[in-house]
Amino acid sequence: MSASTIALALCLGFGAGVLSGLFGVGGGILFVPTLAFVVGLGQLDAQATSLAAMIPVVAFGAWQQHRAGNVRWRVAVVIGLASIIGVAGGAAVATSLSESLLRDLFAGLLLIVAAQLVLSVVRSTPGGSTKT
Amino acid sequence: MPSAKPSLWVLGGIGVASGFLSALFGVGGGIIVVPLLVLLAAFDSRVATATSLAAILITALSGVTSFSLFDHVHWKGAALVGLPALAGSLAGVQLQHRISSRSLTLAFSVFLAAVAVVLFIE
Repeated sequence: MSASTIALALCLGFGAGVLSGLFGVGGGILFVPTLAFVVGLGQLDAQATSLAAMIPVVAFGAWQQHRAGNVRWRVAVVIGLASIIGVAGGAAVATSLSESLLRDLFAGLLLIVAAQLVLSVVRSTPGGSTKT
Repeated sequence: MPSAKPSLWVLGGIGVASGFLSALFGVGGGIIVVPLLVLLAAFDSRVATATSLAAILITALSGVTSFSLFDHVHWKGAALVGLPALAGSLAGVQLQHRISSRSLTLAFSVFLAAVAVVLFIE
């Protein structure tokens, strides 16, 4: 890895963190393209590595939210433990798909998240039907 | 409104779905956990987001464990983006308290859509 690759990855990692804190989206959707385009990982490896990259962010965020008294731990633990079953299934599917299909599916997910953000803006428009 | 105690089955279902999505796409799963907790468990969005973060910690750890068994996790790459992201997220949360601009959110969604297009072309 060249020095400029490392510098760019550090900057984009920082930027991904800023955006995830700002918009409340997970870092994952930004880590995956960074790892694929800048670090040069394949799609599957970028996705697997993204899960590792988000651990410090998520751990610190969860700890802060815990201190603020916002975490319902029983609910979090039940969801977290049940997710292990889903992870096994998702990992089996991900490893069986081709890199290009996996990349296209990921791109589709990005579009859905983008649409969800637009919807959240529309819903929070003054005079909109839901909460202010 | 106080949240009703959500049933174990509902929570289990949310967990399985988020784990599947998380391992399939390398994302946290908050994309579905937060809206589902709001919708099915009547959590307010702040509590839903916080609870989702705690759940995702378990999800991400389990995902990393399964993918590292097959050597798909690049630890150096993970540290390279994950550690600066920790610093960045602190800045992002601070900024969020000061600005909550609709145009910024829209700009971000356009950016995501652009990344999606590049990925489709690649």
